[in-house]
Amino acid sequence: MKCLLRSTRFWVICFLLLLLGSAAVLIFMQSSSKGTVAVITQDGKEIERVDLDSVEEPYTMCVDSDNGGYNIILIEHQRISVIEASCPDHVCVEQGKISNSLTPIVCLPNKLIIQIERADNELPLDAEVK
Amino acid sequence: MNAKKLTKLAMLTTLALIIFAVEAQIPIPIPIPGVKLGLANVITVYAAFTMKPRDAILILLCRIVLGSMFSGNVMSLMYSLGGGILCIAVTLLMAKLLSQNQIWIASVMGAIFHNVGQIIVAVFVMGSIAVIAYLPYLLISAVITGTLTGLTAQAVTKHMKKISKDIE
Repeated sequence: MKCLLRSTRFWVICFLLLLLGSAAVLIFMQSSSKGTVAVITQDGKEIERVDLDSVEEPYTMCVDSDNGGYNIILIEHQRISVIEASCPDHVCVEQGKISNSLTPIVCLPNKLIIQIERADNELPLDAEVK
Repeated sequence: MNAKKLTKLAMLTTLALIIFAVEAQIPIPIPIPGVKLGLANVITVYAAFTMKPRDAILILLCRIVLGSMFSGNVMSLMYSLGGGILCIAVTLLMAKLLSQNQIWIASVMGAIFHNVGQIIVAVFVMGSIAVIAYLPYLLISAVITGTLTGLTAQAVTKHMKKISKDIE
């Protein structure tokens, strides 16, 4: 066992497997990530749930956080994004518009998460047929 | 702790801080929180392989605390600490196991666990497991950046050995 842990080849194989595994998970998630309901969570509490399919006119929403910060969220037909934020890094703004559950928008400083979920009445097969 | 050792620790901490500050100015084209080059890890890995575990931990903790104070981002302190503590623990363990030609392996493992640590902290801070969706991205980035910083640390360790031999 100790011998195996000392061999370079063992670790190279481990790292390659990890790379492939992560890539596989991402690809798998991509194919099963259709959804239309945007769930906005702050500090672990759900504050808003929007069905993006039924949005016709784009509108914005401001979410204030406990620490005095804010995020301005743009809600559009089938897409959602953060267009302005008080945080210094602006990772959430740079992430742009999301339309699937692959990568939720996360604002770490303001503890804000925007996730897209499948509507409860929507069966996975229906989404494929559409 | 004698003056020579204190100087060496201070020098390495300063170096790590400079690398950390310069790196913060490099824009990253990937909009995933937590993805970065982690160049300061070169110092951590070097210290883990050439100094006592206690000294390596000291350098890392000083760098993290001072680094987050300089960047003015107190929130990042928790993430850095969570990632950093897991990272140094794994790196030190690997340093016991590996030879001087396998330093990069310890660096990759350190990077992987650094990112896992950050995700764990994020799960607690955000009160949601949604952030785990970032784990695959962070693992891929850890293997790539860990290898690069690890090879750098390996080269540094070799050269430092040569230099200190010449001096003596």
